[in-house]
Amino acid sequence: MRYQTTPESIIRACEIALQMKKSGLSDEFIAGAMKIAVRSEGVFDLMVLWAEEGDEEAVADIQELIDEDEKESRELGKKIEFKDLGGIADSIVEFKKKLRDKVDQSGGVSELARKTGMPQSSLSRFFNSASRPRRTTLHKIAGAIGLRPEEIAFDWTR
Amino acid sequence: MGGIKEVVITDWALDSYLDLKHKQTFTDDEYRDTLRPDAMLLHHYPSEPKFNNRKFWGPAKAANGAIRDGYKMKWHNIGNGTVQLRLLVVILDSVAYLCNAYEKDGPGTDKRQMAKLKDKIQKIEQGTFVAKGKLT
Repeated sequence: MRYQTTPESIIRACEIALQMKKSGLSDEFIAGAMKIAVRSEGVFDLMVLWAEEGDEEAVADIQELIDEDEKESRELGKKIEFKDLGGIADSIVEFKKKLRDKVDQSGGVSELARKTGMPQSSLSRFFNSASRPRRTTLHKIAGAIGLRPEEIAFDWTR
Repeated sequence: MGGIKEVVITDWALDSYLDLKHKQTFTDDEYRDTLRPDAMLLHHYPSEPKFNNRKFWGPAKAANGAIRDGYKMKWHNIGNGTVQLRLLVVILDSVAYLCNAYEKDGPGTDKRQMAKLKDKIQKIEQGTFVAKGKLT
């Protein structure tokens, strides 16, 4: 398998993990990153970009890959027609806007980051993009701000 | 090298499209007249002459060298005329996989996308990715 992390890189990833801990990133995030970094050179590269170039967006990318790793199912899901994509993007943005309002009523994104252990840059990307929300992310948010399952039910979850 | 058997639209490509479309990174006309027809050229990879144009097509590169089987399709001056759009493509066993599309808005974006591409190649090789359909 290509792009496996080398033993030297794993040691370096451990050092970066300690730096992440000192910077205030959550244990949950760091453990999730390390779990993947030991086998994925791509995640290791993102950790290095964060440590050596101070790229905070790398943290949001790592969280994306952690969420992808935690994905509950890999089935094809609901069929999507190309002609519907514009409307789907709009409904995703509308859904996230309503969710963001509820988050703001519960202390805002920084408080949500603290409660979920997800980096703030990752949550900002989540709320500002029209990408389909992951079920795992929605469950984390719902758990943190006390939403019922029906309040996070959404057709275009992946 | 033989031709491409199929062009697979991955989950990553779908989400990129949704986000870029919503942000109006490209116009509907650009999608119809330029982006989609260019992606369709993958069915004729590598014989289609446009793949020899380095401004349009090239290997994906990380700091430590080219990312094997990873490529970039590039468009310049898209949308409002200033957007540098990139589509990452993985070609494995004569199948082209459309991965992330993104606006190249700085060297940091490219570096992060290259790192993520390595992870995607692993997942494609392992079969642990989601295919949403085929480009036809």
